[in-house]
Amino acid sequence: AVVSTQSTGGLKVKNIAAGYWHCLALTEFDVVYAWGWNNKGQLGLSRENAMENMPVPLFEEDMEIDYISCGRSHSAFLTKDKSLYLCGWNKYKQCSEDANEDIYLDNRLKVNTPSATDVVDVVCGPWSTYFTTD
Amino acid sequence: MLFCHKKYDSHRLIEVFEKGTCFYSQENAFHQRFVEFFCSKEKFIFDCVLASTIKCLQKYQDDRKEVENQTNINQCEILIDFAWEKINIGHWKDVDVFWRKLYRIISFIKCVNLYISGGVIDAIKSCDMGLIMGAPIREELFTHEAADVISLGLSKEYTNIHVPTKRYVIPPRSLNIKEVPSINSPSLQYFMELLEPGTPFVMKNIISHWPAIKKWSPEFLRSKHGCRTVPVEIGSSYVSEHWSQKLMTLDEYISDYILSKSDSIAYLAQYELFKHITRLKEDISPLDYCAVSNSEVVTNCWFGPEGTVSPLHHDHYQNLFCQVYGYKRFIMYDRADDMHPHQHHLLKNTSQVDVESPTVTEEFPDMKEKVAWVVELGPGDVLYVPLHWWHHVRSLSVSFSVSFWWK
Repeated sequence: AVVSTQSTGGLKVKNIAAGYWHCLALTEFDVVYAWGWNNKGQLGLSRENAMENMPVPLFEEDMEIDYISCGRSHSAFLTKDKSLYLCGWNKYKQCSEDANEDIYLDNRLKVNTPSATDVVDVVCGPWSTYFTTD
Repeated sequence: MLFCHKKYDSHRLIEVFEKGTCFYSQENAFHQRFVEFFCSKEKFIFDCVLASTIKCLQKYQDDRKEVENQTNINQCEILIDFAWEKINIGHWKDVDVFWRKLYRIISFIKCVNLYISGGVIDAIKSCDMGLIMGAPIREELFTHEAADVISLGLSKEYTNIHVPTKRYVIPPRSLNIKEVPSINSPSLQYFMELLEPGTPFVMKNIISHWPAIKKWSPEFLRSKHGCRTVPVEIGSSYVSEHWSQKLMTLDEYISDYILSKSDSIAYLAQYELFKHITRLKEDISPLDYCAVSNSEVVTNCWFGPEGTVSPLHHDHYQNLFCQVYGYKRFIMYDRADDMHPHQHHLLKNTSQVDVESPTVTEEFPDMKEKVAWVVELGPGDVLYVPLHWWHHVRSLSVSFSVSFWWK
């Protein structure tokens, strides 16, 4: 899909990240938009959404996202209060050491990475996630 | 633990496993290409998995009991996931065949490991994924044979219960309908004469000797080949927005979409089933008539419930369409007729005209004069659809057909 500022509700895009089949855009006012394939939950949506052709906003209004990064089929979101959220392909434990399945997020339900508090930076490799703490 | 599959450990299957793993570990040309695409670490994984599989297979034969080898299976999955990625990025035409060969090889190796650890159903699923997504090395058939022998072992008994009941849909009365002529068992020479005018005709009594005519039914396929995975189209027609493809076993397909009423239509259409499930090839035989030209013949299967519709379109092949089970109705138009094809480059061979619509001649007034060749096919009938002729096909019951395409 070809997207423009119109697709992100008129908000300007500060940062962009791409997986192999999905994209994330971080806009001004710290709102994240996602589009592409959601076959592993990488868009941060529920199982019912197989994919999104146009960008859709994620999370509730009180979530201020600072950094975004994409792996092949997973996504990482770092909030201003130094919390890390991961979703998507989890076969090789990219998102969660405890879970045995891929991580899907509802717009309501958020899965926080318990070991990751005071996270200051995050970057995803194709099949892995790296983060640094304070 | 009671090892119930011993009966089906046919000598043949173990032989295929052994021959296949040896063959792949000695394919130097492939190994050289492997190193071009991967670094030495992945090559090390690949070599280890092959060697370990050969060892585990030997242990399985010596000890005559299941061999635990989850590490091998995990390593296979890593290579499969990697190959799958490469196959699904960019345009399929640009995907190097190396990735599809790797996918086929590792699916086979994974199958061996799954089978000897007791996972027979997963083993055959792995073979089928390798057959659907992968490519062979120099036309070898190890994966085909392994799958065919395993499925023999999983065969069940059955009784033919389902009788195809015809629901005839009358074409709009405003169409200018002509009946397609039928000929009884023409000789090869007569067939060549029949081809000359370039118009459709039906041949009767030329496939009555096919074992498929007596054997095939939904129950037969489900019981003898139910564990096989196939790609099924979901949606009312391939031009619809909600059309998609899904992989499922023949058992799931037949239970959910053929033998029971479903909300959505599913259709196993235009699939080279006999290249995949090679045992089914024994139930049909190639038509001598296709040999009139020296071209390659593409054999497709068309297996679906009542009500499948292929909208009016034309193909780049001559077509001998063999009806094996159930009933189908064809509406055909001359290749020279303007059928208002779609503009989109992917749909240039598909007409915008819905020939079954009661208002068709209001939407497209020129349809009133054009001659609509209409025929209903039953088991044993073979229809000749000339090159580039427009055809609309509707199944009038559960239907299984085999088409031979040539040029």
